Amino acid sequence: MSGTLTTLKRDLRSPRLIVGELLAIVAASVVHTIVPQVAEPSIARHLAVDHPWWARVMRAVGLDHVFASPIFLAALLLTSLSLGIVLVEQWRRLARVWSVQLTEGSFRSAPYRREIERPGHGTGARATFRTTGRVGLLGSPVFHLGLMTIVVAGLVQWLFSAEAIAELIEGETLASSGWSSVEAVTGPFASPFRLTEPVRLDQLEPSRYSEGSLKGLSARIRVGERPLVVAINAPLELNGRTLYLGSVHGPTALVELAVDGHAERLALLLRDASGDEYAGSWVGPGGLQLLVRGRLGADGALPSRLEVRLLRGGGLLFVGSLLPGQGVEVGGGIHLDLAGVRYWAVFRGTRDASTGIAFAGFVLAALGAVLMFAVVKVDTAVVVRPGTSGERVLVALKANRFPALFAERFERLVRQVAERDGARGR
Amino acid sequence: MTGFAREALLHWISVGLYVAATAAFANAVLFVQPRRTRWGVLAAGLGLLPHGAAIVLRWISSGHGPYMLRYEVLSSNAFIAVVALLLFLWRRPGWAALALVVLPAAVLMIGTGLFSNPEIRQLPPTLRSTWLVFHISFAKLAAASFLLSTASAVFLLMKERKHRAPWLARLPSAEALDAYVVRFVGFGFLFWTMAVAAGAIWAHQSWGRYWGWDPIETWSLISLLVYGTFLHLRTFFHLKAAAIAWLSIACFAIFTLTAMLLPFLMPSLHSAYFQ
Ligand code: HEM
Repeated sequence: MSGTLTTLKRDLRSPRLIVGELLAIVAASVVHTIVPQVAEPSIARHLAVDHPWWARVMRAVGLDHVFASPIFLAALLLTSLSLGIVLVEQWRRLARVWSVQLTEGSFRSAPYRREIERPGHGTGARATFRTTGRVGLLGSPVFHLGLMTIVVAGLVQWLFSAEAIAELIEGETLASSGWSSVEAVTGPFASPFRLTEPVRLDQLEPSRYSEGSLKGLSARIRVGERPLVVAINAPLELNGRTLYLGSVHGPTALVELAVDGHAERLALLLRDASGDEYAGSWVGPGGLQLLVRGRLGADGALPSRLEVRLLRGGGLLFVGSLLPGQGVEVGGGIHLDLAGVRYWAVFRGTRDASTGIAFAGFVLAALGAVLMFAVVKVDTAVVVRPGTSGERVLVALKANRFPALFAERFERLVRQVAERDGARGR
Repeated sequence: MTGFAREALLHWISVGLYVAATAAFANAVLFVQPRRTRWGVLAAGLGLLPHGAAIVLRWISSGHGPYMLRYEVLSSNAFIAVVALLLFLWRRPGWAALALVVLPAAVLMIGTGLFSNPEIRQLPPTLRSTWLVFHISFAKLAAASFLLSTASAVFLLMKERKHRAPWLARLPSAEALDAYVVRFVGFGFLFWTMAVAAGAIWAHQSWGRYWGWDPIETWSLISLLVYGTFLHLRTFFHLKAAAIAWLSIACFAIFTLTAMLLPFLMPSLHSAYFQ
């Protein structure tokens, strides 16, 4: 049994397997960016129509949902196991070599070794060993620990996180459980996203550059009774949940439509149609259809008037431009009122226990990379023995990486030792 | 003269100086005249002045750093590459041959940038973040390091050939070139790791998630993994120097695809900013 375990460990640690695992993740990532994924249904549908045979093959192999395919998940599992085994091995080795005492024997196969003679007669044999850049040894273990931490964060996020979006109109209050389930993502062990309190959007405040493009967007909101501000790049932390404001927003047409005395209050979210134009529509009973469009002002202000069209069964009943607060009698028992124009905006809520773990992973990976490549551990030895006419000195240097780049440093050391500076004060 | 015409003129002056610097370095390296590298350093250093001025003028007129348009991105990448080259040559004057790859690459980047659309685009609100500074700075430093590694790889391959030109004898030994290929990859790797990490923290602040498998995010991970695989191969197996050099050049091709081409070609949250 223990033999099988040892073999398994050895196999998981095999360099070929490790390289294979990395290449498998690379291949899956490439596939993810070039093969339409089921998460993008419109593209996938096109593919199914244009190249049905190819679409079938991709589905069978899992290329159209590559990160959820059994092959990829198995590769990821294998990678994590290899990484786990290597980590244990790396940290154990680190503990072993961290404080190893250098001896003359440690330099037997050093790439830089030279014996020189210098005048003088010292007080017998003596040896000086010096190590610089020892922290460089931490590089690879810390980097791989960072990677493992990121893998754990990914797992925690997938299992326990939840997110949802909500479109809110100025003046509207979203109940704590009112988050849309349409684009919500809820982990297998998570409950659907909700805030602990209702949120009301009091006012949306976009700011524009002089040429009209969006510069910033913030929202005055009320969470419970507390007035707060949330903005792009300035999310709000609320009891372990985070509330974000995206940049998608637009005007809302508040319309009152009375048909045969039966009044209907509509809120039409006008969405970006082209350039500054925003448009929205509503389809009602009896083939009634309402189309509304308008342009934002040059400074991004809400439209001062909206173009409204009312149709029934395809026949035009009314077309005209209405000011907010203006109403018209359409005829046939229909009355149309543009009650007001307000902003709407998209909010996104997340509950993600993995954020702290992921950030710790990023920090460890970055720190490990710095230690790995910016710090090199270098050991030097200066061993002095009495010679026939002076002293015989062995000078040696070894670096734990890039040995070819330490020739100059070695020559400097030899010069210093020859002039005795190297030995001074040691 | 319009703002862009002034910037273009400054860029072309810097191109002229970089070409002159390349000629001086070529002369110094090919005819084994190490003292002449001084002229190369001087011309390249002078080239940085109009180049830097053009970047500053653009910065002032657009109100943001050089990271929105292909023209801005390529010009600033070229600037950083030349600065990195001169800093390196200051520490290691014997490596003048690197200039023969880095300077033409810088000229190519500036030229490509100047022929793309220079119309100023304002910074979208999500880009107005401190993290942008880290994300972009580290990405540019990574690009410069990977370029230097590629230059070392090219010379390593030339040195490994049977019939090699006599001037190649002036270059550092094959072992040192091989170590520099990996060392520069190492620096690029650490800067790229930081660029990706800063990007993830910023994405969390802006978009509510630190990783979303957006195509450009994914390709930046692919580049990191590819360079990581390269470093593993080099650590695990005793590969020949030529194999190391070719592999590093292949990695650089993938990195160039990620950083310089795909953002302009793939529909992505990132490409919205570059087009
Ligand atoms: C399958 C998971 C992985 C395993 C099992 C693994 C294992 C190893 C091992 C055993 C080493 C040799 C160094 C030592 O023993 O201290 C190493 C080095 C290294 N690994 Fe990994 N690694 C993995 C994933 C990664 C990834 C994803 C990256 C980055 C994208 C990476 C980057 C590096 C780097 C930069 C080095 C240092 C190479 C050098 O010394 O020049 N590793 N890895």
